[in-house]
Amino acid sequence: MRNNRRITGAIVAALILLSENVAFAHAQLRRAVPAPAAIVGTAPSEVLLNFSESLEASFSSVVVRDSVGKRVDTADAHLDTGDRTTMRVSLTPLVPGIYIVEWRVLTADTHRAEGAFIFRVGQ
Amino acid sequence: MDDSLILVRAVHFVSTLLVSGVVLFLIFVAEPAFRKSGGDTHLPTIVRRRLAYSAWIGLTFVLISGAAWLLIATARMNDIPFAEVFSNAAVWTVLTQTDFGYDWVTRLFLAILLAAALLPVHSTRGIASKWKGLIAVSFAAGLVATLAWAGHAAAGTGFARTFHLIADGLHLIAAAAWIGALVPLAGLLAAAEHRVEESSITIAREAVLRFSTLGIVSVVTLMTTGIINTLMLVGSVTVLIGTDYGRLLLAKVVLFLVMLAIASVNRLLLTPHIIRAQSSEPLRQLRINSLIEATIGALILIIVSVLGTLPPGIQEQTAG
Repeated sequence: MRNNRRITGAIVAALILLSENVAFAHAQLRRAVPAPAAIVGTAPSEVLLNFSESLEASFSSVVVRDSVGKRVDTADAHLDTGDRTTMRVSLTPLVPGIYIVEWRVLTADTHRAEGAFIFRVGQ
Repeated sequence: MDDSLILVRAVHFVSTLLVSGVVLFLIFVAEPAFRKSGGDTHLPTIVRRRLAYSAWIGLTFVLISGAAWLLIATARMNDIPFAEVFSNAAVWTVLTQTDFGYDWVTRLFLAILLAAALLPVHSTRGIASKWKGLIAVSFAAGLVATLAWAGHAAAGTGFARTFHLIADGLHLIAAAAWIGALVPLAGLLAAAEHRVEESSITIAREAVLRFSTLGIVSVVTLMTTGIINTLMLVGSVTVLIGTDYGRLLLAKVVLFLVMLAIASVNRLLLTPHIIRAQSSEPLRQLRINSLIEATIGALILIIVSVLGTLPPGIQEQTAG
């Protein structure tokens, strides 16, 4: 009886552990800093995007534009070393206003995904 | 472009599993059965030649479909028409900077190594040394298992990714050992049916028994790894019946159960007949059943070819 409970516990623990890391095709944006629709008081120095799956660096990019469409990122979009689910791009100094983040990624299993969101700097 | 990708994947999966299945069958079923033939070389020579030809033809299809898959994948990854794939070193970028590319190069090497390891099969002694046989099996198993790296398991992270890749790799090897080995089994039975030597019946019986054992191990592996994969890619009954992905997976499971039913008939009804009987009639029936099983197996592989192009159902569940 006690053995059964231990085994069940181990299986449940394993499943929980697995589900933490489980991430599948057609990447979804899990987290972004600044967050979608966020209003931030100080201008961020970079945009961070975290996805549900591992990405291919050579086929993933992110562009940040201001409200008239001018690029405000430094074109250095890159994946974190050791974490292929996180992409960052540095920003030029931002003035208060609305900015749009456009991302296009390729997951490690060759599926493409893209999306965009806006955030605001200032009150 | 979706249809051509699915077609190319289907040809690649079928030919890869066939080649690997032929090698696994040769080393684990045929050669051990030949050793029971009491020195007779007639049937062994015929079967070895057939298996060698099957492997070479299969490898040709593996290479051609593999090349086509690379080109189509490159076009899709770059979102360009197929005709433009050869410009801008697009293929080179894929080969040198993506998981898909690394996997492709690895599998090309494995295919070449396997081809080299299969050269002795043509001789009358076949692959005589046990070690050479195991080397061939390793390359064959590697060629089919590495297909996992080109699938959904590759997009995971951390421990779950490694775990998923291993489960998927074992799933593929087991599939090759069952679906892939059914065709050479049918070939051996066909060759044995028409021979008059007592030793041919002995070889056929021994081969059937050994294939049976291989089949049981494969089925258990397929079910275990299949459940793991389903948990990781589907995760719930809602997703299983509520998404295209889930329903295709269900179809695959149903076909698997049909194959299992036929295999049970082979194991429980026909195999005892083959052990006892003097005529070649049960051999003929088993050959026909094996080919029916293999056809259903091919249908399963077509479903797999489609599944890989879809987002796994679990993704749709979490989407907003």
